[in-house]
Amino acid sequence: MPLHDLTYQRFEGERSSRLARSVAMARSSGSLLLKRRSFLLLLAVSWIPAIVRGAQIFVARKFPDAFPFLTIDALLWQDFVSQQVVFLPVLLIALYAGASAISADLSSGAFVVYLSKPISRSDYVIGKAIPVMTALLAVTLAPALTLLLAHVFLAEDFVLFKAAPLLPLSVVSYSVWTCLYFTLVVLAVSSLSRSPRVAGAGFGALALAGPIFLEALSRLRIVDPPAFLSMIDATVDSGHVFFGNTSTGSAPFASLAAMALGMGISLAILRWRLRSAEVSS
Amino acid sequence: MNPPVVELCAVSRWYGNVLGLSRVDLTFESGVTALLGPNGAGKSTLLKLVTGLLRPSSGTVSVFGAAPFANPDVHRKLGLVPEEEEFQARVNASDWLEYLMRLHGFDENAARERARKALHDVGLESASKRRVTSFSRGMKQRLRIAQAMAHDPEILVLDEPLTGLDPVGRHEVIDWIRDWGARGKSVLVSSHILHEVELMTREVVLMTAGKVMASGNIHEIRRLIDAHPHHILISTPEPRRLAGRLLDQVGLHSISFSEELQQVKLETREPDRFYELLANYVLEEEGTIHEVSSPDDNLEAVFHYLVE
Amino acid sequence: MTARIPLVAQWSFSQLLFSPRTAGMAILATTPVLMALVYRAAVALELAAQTSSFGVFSILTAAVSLPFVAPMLTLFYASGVVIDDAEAGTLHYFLTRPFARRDLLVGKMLGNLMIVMFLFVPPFVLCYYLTLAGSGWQELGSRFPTLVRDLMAASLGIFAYSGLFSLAGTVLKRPLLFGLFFVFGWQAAASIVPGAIRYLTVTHYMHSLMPHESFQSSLAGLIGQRSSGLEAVVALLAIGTATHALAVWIFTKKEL
Repeated sequence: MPLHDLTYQRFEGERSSRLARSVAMARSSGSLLLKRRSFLLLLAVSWIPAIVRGAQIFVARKFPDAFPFLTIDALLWQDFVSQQVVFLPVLLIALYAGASAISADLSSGAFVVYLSKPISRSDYVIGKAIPVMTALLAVTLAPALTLLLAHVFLAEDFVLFKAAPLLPLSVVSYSVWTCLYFTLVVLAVSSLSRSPRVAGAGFGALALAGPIFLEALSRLRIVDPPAFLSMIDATVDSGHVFFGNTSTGSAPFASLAAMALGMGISLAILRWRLRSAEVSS
Repeated sequence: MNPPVVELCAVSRWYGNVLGLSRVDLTFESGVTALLGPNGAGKSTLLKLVTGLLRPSSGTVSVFGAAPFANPDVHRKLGLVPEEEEFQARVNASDWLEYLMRLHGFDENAARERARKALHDVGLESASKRRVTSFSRGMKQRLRIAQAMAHDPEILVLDEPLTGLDPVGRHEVIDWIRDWGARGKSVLVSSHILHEVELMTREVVLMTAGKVMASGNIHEIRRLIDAHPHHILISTPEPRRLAGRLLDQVGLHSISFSEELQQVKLETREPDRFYELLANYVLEEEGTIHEVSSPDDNLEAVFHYLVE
Repeated sequence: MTARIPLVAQWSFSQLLFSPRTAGMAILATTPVLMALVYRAAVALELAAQTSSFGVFSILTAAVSLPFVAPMLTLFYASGVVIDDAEAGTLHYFLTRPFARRDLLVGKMLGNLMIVMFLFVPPFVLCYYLTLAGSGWQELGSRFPTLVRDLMAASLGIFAYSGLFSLAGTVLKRPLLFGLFFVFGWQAAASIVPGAIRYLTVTHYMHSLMPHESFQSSLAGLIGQRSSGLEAVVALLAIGTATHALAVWIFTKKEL
């Protein structure tokens, strides 16, 4: 009687790099996103705050005497990225691009098809994370760097960079950190349901509940409700660490740690869900 | 004079810029009619138009003389087995059917009785208290069929009803469909598998690319097809010997062989006689055959002939 | 009302009631209760300053229950009025039954309203009792009209939100996104901008009916743009009725 090979999957030939595998998946998801007019509209609307800030920089640089209260310093870039979180663009983009990323694959059975190819679960998560992360960076890092460039062209001195030499690095690191956090959380929530709508509602409730509860706790005068209890407030608070003004804010390092914990929990959820989905699909 | 059960007059249907159905004129009376065609042929679009889930972009659709879109009078006489892959009713099978029968207008007792009988008929009585989400694909398909038959409709519309069924299940469903037709009801069934359709009915509508290519008795269509040469590919370790044996014997249109590939390719106008000869070659002349295949046995080849 | 509407409503309600999704929404609905308990614990541990019992109820109502819990619950259920059946593959079974599409959607919207009220009202009333119980029966009794008024504001607000989100669920592919933007983007912005734009929100009318002070209602009062109770009731009823009716009309015409 012949003995059959019962191992899960066997592939012969050279295996492409992890980056190549993940990018192939990401390209497919990304091109689908870019074909949706509603997504492009959302991206365009998300740039409105950047245009407002751009006008602010223009006015402050061209007419400094007329608007002396418009100061251009590192805080402007920190506020800009923070406000992209507070005023919903980051949340809505994460929800649009990420809520269905895994749940749709679980409900359609595409996840099992992915696993039947020579890719690992990590490749899968990276492949799903890249488009979400890219979309989020497109409304945080990209406009922030554009504003920085606009300032370089408009400014006639280097006062800003003398005062804050690490500003570009702060902008990049804060944006990447923020986007990575929202990407991992939305993917984790997406993996918890087979319905993109339910996953979206779960993520929306999770993100938006924080500020509401913090406001209620503060009005109830429960001693200093810490920002790290809320996803959005923690993100804003952690900005102080990246921009080097840790003396302000609620508890910036605690917020940073809470976000790291949130990312760790998200990764654990993804690991658990994708392992069990393979069996139950 | 009664109107035809289903009538489509110059019906076209677009999905944006994509043409789903192109100027279709058809009538269906009682008995079983099969819609045959490859994926994307327009079968599901036609069935959705008949069941009133879609409206035609142009032309008219009537079922028992009335437009079916959102028309309760038409739906009262209609049973539908939809094609959806996903079917996740979060209740047990019995409650699900009972609810659908209540929606159909039956009172509580009648609905319960009809649900019980339908589940019995499709062999799901023992699973009636199980949640639908826990059903296998085949069980879900049986349940789909049960809900379509439970109210004893005048016209039964089945979109790919054999999908997901095991061979026994397929056989049973084919029998139900034939029974239904034999009782004078109208059955419209779509499929892309020719030999399964042949077991259900003689009346077929062949569709491709949103158009009706042929309609009528399947044998007449077959005869039309048989007028074309039939392609056959044979794998054998002795291609020269087999080719020599077949030459001038079976209405050959052309023949070629390759020693290197160990295969014989031929075109014949008499496929039945060819297969008889091949059997004799193996049994009586101890010839060795590894594989016989004919790309013409699938439905796409039928369409290919018709398009030509 | 045709016989199918209560049947569909009852079915939808029972389906939603025993759904795992509702367990998640129940957690959301009970957060004001949990916060009331946290507050009590914080006061006991001297981590919070003592606020009047009614003040605590006011804060929880004005900051959590009405502006967050009520719209989120309504958004979750109402936005799925069509999509949930489409996702579950059950929609076509209903659409080919011999009854009006109008009855199907009205029944489903009723079922959604029932589940939202079922999840919202008991925790809200419990929160009232939990926060005011310490002040004695007299306080509970004297503040009871406030509870009734809050419930009326919440019910009317939920009715208006339900119409808006059901309409979005009937028309849009991503009603959730619209709903979140409407509640937390548009309304949040419009309520602090002076001018007539606030009349295009639901919160404005809810705040006008609420007997509690909130940031938005204080601001509205400050700039003299608070609607009268009657105006608010009429506006919420009109928004709810018009949007529900429009959703039904579109559903009867729509190919699904």
